[in-house]
Amino acid sequence: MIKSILNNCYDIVYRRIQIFGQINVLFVYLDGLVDTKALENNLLKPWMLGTPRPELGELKSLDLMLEQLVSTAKIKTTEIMDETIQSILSGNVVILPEGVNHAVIAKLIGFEHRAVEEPSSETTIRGPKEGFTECITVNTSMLRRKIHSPKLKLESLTIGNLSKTTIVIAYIEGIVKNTILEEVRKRISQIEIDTVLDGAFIEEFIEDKPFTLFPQVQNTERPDIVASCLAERKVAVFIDGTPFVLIVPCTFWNSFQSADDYYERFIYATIIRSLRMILITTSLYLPSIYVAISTFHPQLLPTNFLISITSAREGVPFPAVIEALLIEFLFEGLREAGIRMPRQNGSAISIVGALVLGQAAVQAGIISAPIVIVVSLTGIASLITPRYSMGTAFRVLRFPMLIFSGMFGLYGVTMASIFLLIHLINLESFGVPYLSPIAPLSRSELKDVLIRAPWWKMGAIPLSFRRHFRFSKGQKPGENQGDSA
Amino acid sequence: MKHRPTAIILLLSCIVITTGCWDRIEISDRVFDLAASADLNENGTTLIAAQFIAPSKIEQSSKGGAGGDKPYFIESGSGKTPLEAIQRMRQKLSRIITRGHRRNYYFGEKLAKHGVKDLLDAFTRDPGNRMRLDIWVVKGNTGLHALQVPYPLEKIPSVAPLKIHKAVGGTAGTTYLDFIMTSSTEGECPTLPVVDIVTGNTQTKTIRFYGRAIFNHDYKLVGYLNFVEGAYRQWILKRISYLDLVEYVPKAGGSVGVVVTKFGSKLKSSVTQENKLKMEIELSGLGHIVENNTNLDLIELKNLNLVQNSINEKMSEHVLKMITKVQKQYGTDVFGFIQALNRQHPREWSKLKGRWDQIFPNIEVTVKVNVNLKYIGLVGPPLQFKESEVRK
Repeated sequence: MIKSILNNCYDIVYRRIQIFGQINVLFVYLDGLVDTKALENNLLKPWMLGTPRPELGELKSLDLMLEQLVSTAKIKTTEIMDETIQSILSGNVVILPEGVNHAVIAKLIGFEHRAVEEPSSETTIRGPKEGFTECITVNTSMLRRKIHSPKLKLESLTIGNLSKTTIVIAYIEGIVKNTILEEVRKRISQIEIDTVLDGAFIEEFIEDKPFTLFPQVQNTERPDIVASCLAERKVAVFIDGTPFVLIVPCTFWNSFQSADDYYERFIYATIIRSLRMILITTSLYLPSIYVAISTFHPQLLPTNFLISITSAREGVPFPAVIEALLIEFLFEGLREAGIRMPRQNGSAISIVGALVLGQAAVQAGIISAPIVIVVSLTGIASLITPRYSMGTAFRVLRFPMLIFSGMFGLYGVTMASIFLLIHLINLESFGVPYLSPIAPLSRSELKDVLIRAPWWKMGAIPLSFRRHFRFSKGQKPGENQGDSA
Repeated sequence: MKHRPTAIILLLSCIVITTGCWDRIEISDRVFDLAASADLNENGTTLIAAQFIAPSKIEQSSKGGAGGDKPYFIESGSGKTPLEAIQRMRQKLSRIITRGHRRNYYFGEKLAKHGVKDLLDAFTRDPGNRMRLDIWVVKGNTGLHALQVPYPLEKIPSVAPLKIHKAVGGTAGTTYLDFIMTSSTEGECPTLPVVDIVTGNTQTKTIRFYGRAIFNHDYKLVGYLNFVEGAYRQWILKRISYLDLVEYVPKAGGSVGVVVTKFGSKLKSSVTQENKLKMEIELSGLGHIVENNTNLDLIELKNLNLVQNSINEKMSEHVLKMITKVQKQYGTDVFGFIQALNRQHPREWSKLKGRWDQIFPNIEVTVKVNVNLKYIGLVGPPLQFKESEVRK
């Protein structure tokens, strides 16, 4: 029966043995997914080589099997065919004893996976250096190691008609905002898809508004970020097979918070955060403001600056807006090439990029030097966001902004910004307004938005409206340390 | 509803394509004038000239090329009215004139004497005109000539007067606004700063900040105040940030140089029983001693007091002299006396309204300068004297 379902699968192993020469059993498992060493040592060796135990007699019921024979930590029995097949495919060893209508499933999963490494997309200087891997059990265990509390709940479910991917919803009972948890459960349970290969598959099903550039679900590779988000009443979704964990709800300001902010001194972290905000704004506005001012409002430039810009633009064939679009386009192309190309081609791309764009094109008088400066500044600024998915939003928005500014000048830039704000205000992530806590304003939560307040000040948990506190007050270091404030 | 985003994008692109809604002007289609001048021709027409940036020449000069080409050029046109003159000038220009960066405007002396009334409307009506504009009167010369004088420190020479104005402690960039404002205030007379063209020892001409020009109610130039007199006038109006003065101290037989900062002034008006007006002017400032050619050791308090008193006395005399000169010679209120009276004695002012020009020359003015010499430095007694000669 099993053979007919699993035909044409070369990696299926059927192994028939006799326990102590008395009981016939059949092992079925997938080659490569099972920890063969453990299988040999725990089951095969003692059963085949061990001295016969005549007192066992005939195998009458399963209990005997479970209690005395199968020496693995995690086992399960089933009599349903589908479940048996499924557990074979997930990498379990199925033991089919003769004369019993049950299958014993022994969990001996042991396949090759990547070791825990430093997260590549979110690096920090100080703080934990481990990142999630592709294996969900490793990931959840990393989270468990951060939060040793029975309140940390991990609900498991399976999604994907073909892939049967394990998904784990993690939250902390008593802290999590229940409406959000309910919403996550509901939305995830409604998903019907054949394969789930990354969090993005789930993300696109559960986000609030599909037609937007802004991510409404945060993703991270770092266990520490997941742990801190869970403590802030959020819900995390682990997906088997990807190191990226989804966190909901996500607000606009999350994209300016880096893990490093919490590991450095708070004054420095605040300064760096404001630098980040300025640069991200720059990445959105700089090219369009350059175009608007140089073509519509040259009065706004200081005279000496104007003199150098006029001389640089002299004899350049394209209008400023076309020039900016061209160079931005080229820059995006270079960046995409940088990601896609084989590593060995790196130097070729960078030499050609630097020489052709920076040097030759300017000297040939095809483009002007200021626009190259503006675009490279913008390029650097756009790479500064700690969340890559938010950075892409600003990267794309730069182009409409540029077109608006080319058409209407600063008036157009203002107009586009107003459209953008209206859009942002309309966004929601799992019932939480996207721009909160700035709009709507919640003063106690502002301690971790534009500034990063010291830890002893951040008593109130975000999203709680001052109803939940992380710790008691009065922990500010100083002479009266410990006194209640 | 389903296709709304697509529809919006389509509509927006329609705006661009069908209406050609691109009212931009590239920088390479603009010509920037940094300074302009207005003069009166022999035949009574107005000559307008302007100094424009020549962008292609700047690049060469910044690359160190000894091209010798100036990065600016001057173009002019004359006509019966300013607009006509500008129109003639425009006929020679391939690009659109942009005035947003023009911060200097020269009036030739001849035009200033003839009156600048006709120019003012063209000025105020043009939205491209910058409010923070300095208008200068060129003493003894034409505005065109002032434009032509090269200036060694600045790439574009017309930037120079503005910077000189700032460096000597004036309030640069407000003269146009002040001119318009005072001319619309009853009784007050407008003034403008003055430059003149001088030749130094090396025979090269250069621009010099001269002082202040005084206009009457008809916008006609009536006279000049020299640099120090102009500075006193600015002091009375609190529009000065730096002034250095050397005064002779008779009791010590030498002169003392003082830099004054932190200027204050008070006008106190009163009406006497014989219906005569009295104006008490109190000027205050903070003095730094920068030069001491007397044999006094200023660390001694009595010596410092002596110097301070005599400097203040001298200065009061000079300021009074300047005011009397304006009162008797020009008869124009350029000190804001009328505003002080208006605020302090509104009832009397309403009686005197309309007769200010007769009243102003006869106002009895007293001046009290009170410069507080606070910083004498650490040098102590003047170094050029022997110890025995220094008066403690």
